[in-house]
Amino acid sequence: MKREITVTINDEVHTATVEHRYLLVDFIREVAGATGTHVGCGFEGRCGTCTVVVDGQAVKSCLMLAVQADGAKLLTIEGLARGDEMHPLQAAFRDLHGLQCGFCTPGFLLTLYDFLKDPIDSEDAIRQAMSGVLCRCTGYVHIVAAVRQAIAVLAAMTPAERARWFPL
Amino acid sequence: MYPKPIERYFAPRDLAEALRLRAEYAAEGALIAGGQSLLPRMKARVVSHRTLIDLNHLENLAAIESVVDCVRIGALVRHRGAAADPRLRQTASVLSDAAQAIGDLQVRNRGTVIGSLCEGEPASDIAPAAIALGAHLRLKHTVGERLVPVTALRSGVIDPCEVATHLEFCTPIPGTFSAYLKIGRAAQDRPIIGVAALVVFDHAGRSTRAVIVVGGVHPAPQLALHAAATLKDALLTLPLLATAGEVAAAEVATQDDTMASAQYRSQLIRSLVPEVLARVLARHRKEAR
Repeated sequence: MKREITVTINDEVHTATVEHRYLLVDFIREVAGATGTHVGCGFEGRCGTCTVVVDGQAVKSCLMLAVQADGAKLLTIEGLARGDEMHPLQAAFRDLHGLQCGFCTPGFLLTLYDFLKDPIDSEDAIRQAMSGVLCRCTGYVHIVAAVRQAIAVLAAMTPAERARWFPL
Repeated sequence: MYPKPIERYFAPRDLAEALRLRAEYAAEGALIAGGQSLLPRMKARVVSHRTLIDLNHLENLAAIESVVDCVRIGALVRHRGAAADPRLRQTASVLSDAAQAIGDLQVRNRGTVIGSLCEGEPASDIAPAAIALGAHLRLKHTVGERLVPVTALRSGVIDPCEVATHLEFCTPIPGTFSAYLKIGRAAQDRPIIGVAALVVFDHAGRSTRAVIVVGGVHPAPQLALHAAATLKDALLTLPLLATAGEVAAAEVATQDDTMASAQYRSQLIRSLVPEVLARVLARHRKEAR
């Protein structure tokens, strides 16, 4: 019924014995204490707010068992900034009012982190990329604008600078 | 919600071990690959499984390969990988279209092409595309294997002792072009209709063979044989595409459910079949230039 697993979350190693049915999102929140990963729906995979980056790809952490992440490297919202310096995507969300209440924002940022690794700078592609996250405050116009700014900022960087913002 | 307790979880490192576990736990166990359909069903307690066999460590099944004149897609190929694969986009774009049409970015990152077929949902995006390509599913068990055409897949066809390891189809001959389009209520929804079309063109630009498959409108995908026959040995003009849409709407059975009425679905067939064929034609023209 239980299994010992080790998951690296934002460069910190967490080992725990968990039930097989324990969801990854609960491991992140309860075991690692990284409560910036939110649960918006009833673990149904509908809202996308619990999205984290698992081994480089955006995944809804309620649609993965914690035991499946044994040995994996995760990035959550807590690991996105570099010290006091915000990720260009976070900075763009702040500059262009890409959030209102902020509840869904971690899900947007981690989903778009994946998209920004090899982005397509078109409104259609951006909207497609973020169709798996729901915002109930305000709609998506400002978020799309923020993503376009982040694409431009990242494109102006050297490859080494850019790589710094994509550790996974 | 949470799934019911899962007594055993195995993460086999090779296929032989996976097959042995599959045989040992048979009906009380389930295979999990992407889990993007299975886990929601387990959490809603539509299904419960006391044993899970996780295929995610079977790295040999993660590739899209060309074997002689066939294309083989392993059980761990995710929708995102299938959508981005240059060879598939070139020779079997109906399948890359369908993989791109599924769910959202996160679901495509985890969900697998074969899992989508095995899950047996009527409203699958992959099934019509796989049928248009004449694809088969390779099912292995501890002492043997068999190929099952995707057209024959329905609940109960895959034995609880079997593991679907590959989706296979013959590399389409030169001059083959294909496409898939769907309509869902929201971008990431299951299709209320999905149409796959594949056309083989001769040097004069005439269609020598056409396949049209309509999914999402009835429990299983359906071949629109009469509609495809209207395209035989003809240049695909816009009036002809419209005729194919009319014929398909007349021959394909549709049903009501909470997402759409049968009548609405028939109307969508009438408009979507010509649209998909126009996309196939555009791809052909682009390459002919």
